[in-house]
Amino acid sequence: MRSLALALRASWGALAAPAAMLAAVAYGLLNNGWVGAWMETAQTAVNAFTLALPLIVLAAGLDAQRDSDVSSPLYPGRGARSGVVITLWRWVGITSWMLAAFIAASATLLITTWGRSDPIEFPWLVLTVGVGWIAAHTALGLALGAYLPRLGLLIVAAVAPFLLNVGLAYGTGSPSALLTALDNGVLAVGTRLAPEAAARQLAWFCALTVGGLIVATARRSKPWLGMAAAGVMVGLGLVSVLTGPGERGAPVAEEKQICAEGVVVVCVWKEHAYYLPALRDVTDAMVEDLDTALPLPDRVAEAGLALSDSSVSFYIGTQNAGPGMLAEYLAPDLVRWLACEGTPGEVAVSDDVLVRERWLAWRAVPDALPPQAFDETHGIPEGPISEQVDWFAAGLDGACAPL
Amino acid sequence: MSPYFRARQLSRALGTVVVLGLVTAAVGSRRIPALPPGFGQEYVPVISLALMPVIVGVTCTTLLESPARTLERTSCRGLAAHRSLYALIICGLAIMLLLGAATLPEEKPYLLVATHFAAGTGLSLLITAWLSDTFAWLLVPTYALLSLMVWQAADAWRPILVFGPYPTQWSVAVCCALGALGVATHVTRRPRE
Repeated sequence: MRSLALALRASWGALAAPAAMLAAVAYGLLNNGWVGAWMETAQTAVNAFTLALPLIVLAAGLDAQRDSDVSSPLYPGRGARSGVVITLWRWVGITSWMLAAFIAASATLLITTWGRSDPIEFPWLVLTVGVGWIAAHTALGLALGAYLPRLGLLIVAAVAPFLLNVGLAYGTGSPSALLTALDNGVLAVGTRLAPEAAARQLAWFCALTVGGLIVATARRSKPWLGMAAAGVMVGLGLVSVLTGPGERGAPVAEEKQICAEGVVVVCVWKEHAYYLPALRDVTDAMVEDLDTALPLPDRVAEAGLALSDSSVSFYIGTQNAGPGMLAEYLAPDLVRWLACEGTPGEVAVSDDVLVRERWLAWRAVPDALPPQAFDETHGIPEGPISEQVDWFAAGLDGACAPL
Repeated sequence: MSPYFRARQLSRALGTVVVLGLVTAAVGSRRIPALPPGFGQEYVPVISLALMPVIVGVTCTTLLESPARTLERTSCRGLAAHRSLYALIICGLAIMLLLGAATLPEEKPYLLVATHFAAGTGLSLLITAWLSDTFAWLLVPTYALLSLMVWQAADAWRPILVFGPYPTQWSVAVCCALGALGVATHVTRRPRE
């Protein structure tokens, strides 16, 4: 315990870890690019640590360079200990700091989901991949710190790992995305991290960790060993990229939905039950009275749930979506379904279609500006609702382009 | 050449700035065809061109810092003049290279590059006036990255996110003020003990 306490005290992680945690939490809570199911929240927590990547590598590199001056009174007296022990001691120190920051940030984000989302399964695998990712980058930071001069370390640690990670993750589901924790949008509700993809990622991060520690240790005593370890790491990365599928998301084994009866049945994933009452009200307000001129769908279902021809599918695009946002997300898909009468097809974006989407959304959220306020050239009748419905239906005639 | 410049290895410092300028040009002109056009071909290059000037700014701060503190005391008489001239050389070259890199993408974000460099340098110089430049390296790039990533989603926080991907009148004013304040603090600061 005393060694761990010393390792924690001697590490730059004492400054870097709180900064990393604050940055990750701020990113997770301020950036509304996620909806709130557990799997997606866990992935957001891991990806939020992208912001901390320069900090992780930099702090580890600085730890490797700390007290490396043998003339310094702070020199830890390596004569009595092997380089392996010193490197491991430093790695444990910085990794403990960063893991504490990661756990705190992940817990903060998961707590925001707590109580409003009944998890289909707890995202252990995603969080484990995050732990492996952090452990690997602290080892890489130590290796960089062992070889680079101070200014070189500062620049490389701030630029290279970030660019490399983001570069490898480009193209969701691409094979190279397996070498990084970043791959936004893969784990939407109804999907889980594929176990084989997680195993390959963890194997890669373990190799990176061990390789990085060997390279960091072997600098003085056995440089050839460091070269060999670096070669094995690059080889393993290439093998990982070139073999096997790149897909990381897999559908959950069992579809779990929850529905509410209204004018039409509205269904969402069980994890998004929080949105169901507002969504039912929005849907009812939208489709009410439309049946005088148009066929109605039997069901409005969240993306990923099983569909029939009489179902409208739509995607909840942001965390904490209120009625206004839900109406905004649902209106285009409902217009497409009504224009195509349930058959597969697309509706080209035009002013006519946009003003009808806005009219639908406005019916659901009357506080919003009426569509007449935006465009008076589309002839929205001021009269009774039946006239407005006729106007709405007439504008959809011929708007559908069959797929 | 005075001991002040000799101790700082001017050619090495200039070489560092040139390499970083080339890296900025390389990452800032890169398009990502796999991503949607609005993101991969516009936002990502802007992010790269927004982040790299901050890194260059922090690097310049490290280069401006004295490698041997005793030298500052021995050349105390002309210290402000030496510091001003050295800052002019390093930051002048850096800003020229960054503006050159900004000519490569279609959007040509000259203002973004210049203001982020000013704010990155200024903020780092302010931090190093009291603390080691390691603190600047740990905090400033992370703050810049956070600003860039959350800027579009966090309307209410924009006044304190000075490193946003699109300059506003407020952010330009804050960046320029930070740059001026940082350089003024560096030039007028007493020699380190």
